[in-house]
Amino acid sequence: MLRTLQKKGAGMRSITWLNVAWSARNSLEQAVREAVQTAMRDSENPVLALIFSAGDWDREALAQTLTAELGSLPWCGCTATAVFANRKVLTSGLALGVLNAPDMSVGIGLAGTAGASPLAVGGAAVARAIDHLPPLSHPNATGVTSNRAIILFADTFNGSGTDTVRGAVREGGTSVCWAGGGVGGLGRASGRMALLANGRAFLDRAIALAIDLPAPIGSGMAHGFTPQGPALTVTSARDKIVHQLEYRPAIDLYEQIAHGRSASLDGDRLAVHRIEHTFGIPQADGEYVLREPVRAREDGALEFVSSIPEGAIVRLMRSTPDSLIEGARHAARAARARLKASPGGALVFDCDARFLSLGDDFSKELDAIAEALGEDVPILGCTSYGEIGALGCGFPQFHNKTVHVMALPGEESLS
Amino acid sequence: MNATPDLALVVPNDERHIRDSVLQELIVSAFELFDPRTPMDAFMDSVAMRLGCAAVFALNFRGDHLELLSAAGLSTNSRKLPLPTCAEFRDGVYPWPEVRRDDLDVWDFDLSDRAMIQSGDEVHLVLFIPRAANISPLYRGLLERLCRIICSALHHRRLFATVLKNEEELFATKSLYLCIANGSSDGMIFQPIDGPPLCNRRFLDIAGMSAQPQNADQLSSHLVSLIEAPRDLLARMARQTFLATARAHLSEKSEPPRDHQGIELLFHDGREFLFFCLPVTSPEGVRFGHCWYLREVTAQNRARRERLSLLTQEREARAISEKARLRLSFLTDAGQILLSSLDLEQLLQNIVRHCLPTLADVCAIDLFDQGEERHVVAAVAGDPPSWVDLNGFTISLDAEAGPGHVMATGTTELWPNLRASDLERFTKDDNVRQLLASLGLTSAIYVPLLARGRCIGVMTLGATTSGRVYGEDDRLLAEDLGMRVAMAVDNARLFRRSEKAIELRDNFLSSASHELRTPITAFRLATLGLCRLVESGRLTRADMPMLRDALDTARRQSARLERLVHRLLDTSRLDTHRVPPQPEPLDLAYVMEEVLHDFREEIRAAGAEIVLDLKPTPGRWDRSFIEQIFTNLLTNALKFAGTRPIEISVAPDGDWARLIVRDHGIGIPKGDQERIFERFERAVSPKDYSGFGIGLTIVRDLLQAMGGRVHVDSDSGQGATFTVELPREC
Repeated sequence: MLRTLQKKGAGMRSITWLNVAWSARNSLEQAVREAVQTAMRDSENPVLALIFSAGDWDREALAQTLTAELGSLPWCGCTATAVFANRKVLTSGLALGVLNAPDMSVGIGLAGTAGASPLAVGGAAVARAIDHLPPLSHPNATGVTSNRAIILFADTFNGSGTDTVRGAVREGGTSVCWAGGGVGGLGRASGRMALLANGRAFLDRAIALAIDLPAPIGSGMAHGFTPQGPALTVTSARDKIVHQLEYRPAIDLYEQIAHGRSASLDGDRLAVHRIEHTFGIPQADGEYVLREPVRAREDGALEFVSSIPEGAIVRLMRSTPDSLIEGARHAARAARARLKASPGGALVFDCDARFLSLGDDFSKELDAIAEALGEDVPILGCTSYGEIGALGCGFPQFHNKTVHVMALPGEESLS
Repeated sequence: MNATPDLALVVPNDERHIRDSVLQELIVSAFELFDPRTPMDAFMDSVAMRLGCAAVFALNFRGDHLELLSAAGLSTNSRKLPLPTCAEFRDGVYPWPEVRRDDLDVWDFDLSDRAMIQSGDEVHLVLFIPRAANISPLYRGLLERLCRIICSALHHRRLFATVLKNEEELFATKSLYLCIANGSSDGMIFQPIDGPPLCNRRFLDIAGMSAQPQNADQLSSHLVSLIEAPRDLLARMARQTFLATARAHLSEKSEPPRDHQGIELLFHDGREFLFFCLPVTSPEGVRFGHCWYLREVTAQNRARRERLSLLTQEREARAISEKARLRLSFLTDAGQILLSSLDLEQLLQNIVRHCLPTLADVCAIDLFDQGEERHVVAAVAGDPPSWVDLNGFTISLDAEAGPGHVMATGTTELWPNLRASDLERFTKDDNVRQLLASLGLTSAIYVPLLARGRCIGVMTLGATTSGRVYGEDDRLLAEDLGMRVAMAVDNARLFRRSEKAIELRDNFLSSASHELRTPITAFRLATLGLCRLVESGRLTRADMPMLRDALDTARRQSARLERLVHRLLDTSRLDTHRVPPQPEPLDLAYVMEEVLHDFREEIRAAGAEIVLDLKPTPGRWDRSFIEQIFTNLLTNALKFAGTRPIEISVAPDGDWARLIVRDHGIGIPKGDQERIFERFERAVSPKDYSGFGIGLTIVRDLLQAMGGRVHVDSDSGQGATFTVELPREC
């Protein structure tokens, strides 16, 4: 259990403060109680709770227990492979943050079915979240800095993350700060991950959390991958499936590249290879939006976490643990730089694949993030199956193998 | 708002790859713009994502009116904001918060083609790119190149949209017409100029088909298999011709039948349809084909037949009613005619006239009743009717058929179609046959005239030139009429008899009073004289002769009165208390002698000579009857013979006994010889000869009671011979 810190400064206006707590108790009830009580103890103006859970707990029981413990406080969250509170990483436990903000508007929207109509689901979830919020009037609001943030939790295992985010952005526009992560993947023994809200657990849904603050929110996104190897034209692709690269079955070229790197693609080796060799879709600003392959199909196609557009000339992207860590640091720095106030907390969505790739070094990412944000800045986050946000100053999209950091304004000077 | 292009002299490989990737991806994405069914949003999102735009707009500058065709990066709320005018937009007046930023470069690309410009449209692709993204100006050129593709895609998109719209409208129209066709209550087969026939749902239901026919042959064969051939040969031929033409039209696209009225078809299951063909042409006269209609008319036909049936029934009922009315009217008129006269001859003529020509072309009434005078009236229809004298022709009661047979049996004979060969059964008399043949009867009814249980005659109704054929109804009418005629004839006869009876009664009373007055006067005078003598007290012996004469006169007149009274009593005995004969062994000759002895005074008084030829004639008879018979015959002979001889003979003749009384008196005219045996009938006037006119009646009745008979042979001035014949055993 980690104690929270609450800062108070003279001549400063408190905008938000994130009280973060965690619990690794085996008992669900005890873990929830411990985390909630800890987070609530120092909370003066609790307006929202965010919950990330890892482990084998029953999802519905978790949701009901949280509701019972949190009472009337709005909350939402998800389950994940790993969750972290500040620098503490848990693969079995609960990370909980209570957002204190004297002047914050909150809206939570739930929509489904993500698998059948992800475009509509993303838009519907956002529409419901912002339905009762006033119109946005912050000048120069962008996708990376805005008084309004929309945090999207989407089932990207069942539905298309790309389309869910497109639908959400169509509804919310680019003048809000976008964040969020995909919930999916096989996870561990508990099976698929789930979305949590309104006292229940959901699959095949999208949850949008909209928060309005009196000061801009900053977000940063980076991955630490660099393009290497040949450019490959996606000559045949549909949704998440790439059938052909350079008019040849996609797996052939992928194997060729793997052989070139003395790696085979059988079983777990594909997993290793795909982690290290992901695809990047180039953007006009020089950035690459990453796409992670998940499996090779019998027809020679490659299935990805999210869609790759036909006609794109992709590059294989490589990374190192250091580059990954540096990418996390870069994201945090960007988010911090976009705040006008000092950060009152940060939400981090980090890719499952990065967690698996870094292994024990994953905590170094958190260290890098904490260093960039400030040592006292509470950090709450989880690993995700895809990340949502604007890379650079670009258009909000769905990403893989990327880190997203959303920095919340904490205090600002009254003068 | 547009940024100044900043050209790089050397493009790094990575830059080239990125540029190529972006261009290629956007080109592929732009292909989706060709299809108007795919929203532009996906392409706009691709542009925005790959170029890192804050927002991308597709705008139509139509005059000063701005139309937002599509956008990426705008929220739903932003899309609802009022659009600026074209001038305002060009001046950088943006209502959308997503682009109300200081750090955006605006790239504006004109996508208009000639067609758009001609229609007044000006489509632009406008990108709002964050300056901080540091997008190479090369991308501007890339996008300009891309815009040519986008322009072409939009052009084809519009064309495709028009095609799709037209197809939709066509499909909608087709669907509408299919709905109308399938909703029709008529079965329809549309035979286009080219292509197989198409049936609507109703036709498939009617024909019991679950799917469209594969070809016209299958269709027409199936249709023919459902149809029942009409019994009528002409109708069958007409149907076959029509169906063959229809089949040829459906299968071989030959000319359809010209008769668009169609034909009625009867299906094996009893349903009736009208099958007809109409051309399908546009208002401009373009022919698309023909449409065959199968319209169910079962209910209408059934209703029509029912109406016809009801109408027929009503007409028949009216005809029957009218017939009955006419019949009643005829009978009523006949009744009035029959009541109008009691003159038998006039009555018969009137009724015969009434029957012509309403009921017959020839009508005859023949009263052939035993004991009555024969009356026969016959006429042939005409204006006026032609009377035929049939008195010289007799009816054969032993005929096999015809009026004689009707007369004998009392049953009506109806001859709907009378042939010459039938007439041979009516009579054996050639004259009668010739008469019947000459009439030219083609149909006849012979009706017995029945009155009080017996047939009094025959009424004949015959058809000749009119061609009518008698039937049951006519027979019933004729019998009804016959009954009335018989009743009227009987009434007329009864009336005549009653008149006669009254006349006879009057005559009798006159005779009786005359007969009684004379002896009563004489007796009164004699008794008055005697009373005067006795009352005078001067009765002397000298008055004895006078007294004796007076008493003798009184005695004779009283005897005469007694005889008259006996005769009056005999009159009453005629009707009441008829005593059956009590036969006993008698000799007629002996009884005659006794009677003659009783009549010696009258014989002497009459001065008649009696010539007797009496042979013993034993037998068994009633004595009183025999005495009465002899007395009455003798009385008559004495009355009418005068002083001329009277010849009386009695003799046996086998099993019979015969008595003959012949006088040489005034005789009896031939015409009176029958009626003198009727009561109160006399051949002489009561002024000339006394009597009640019952003597011969008594003779006849007494003889009939004993099984005998009497007849007279006489003529005026030649005396009379009365012959009595009696069976020896009464």
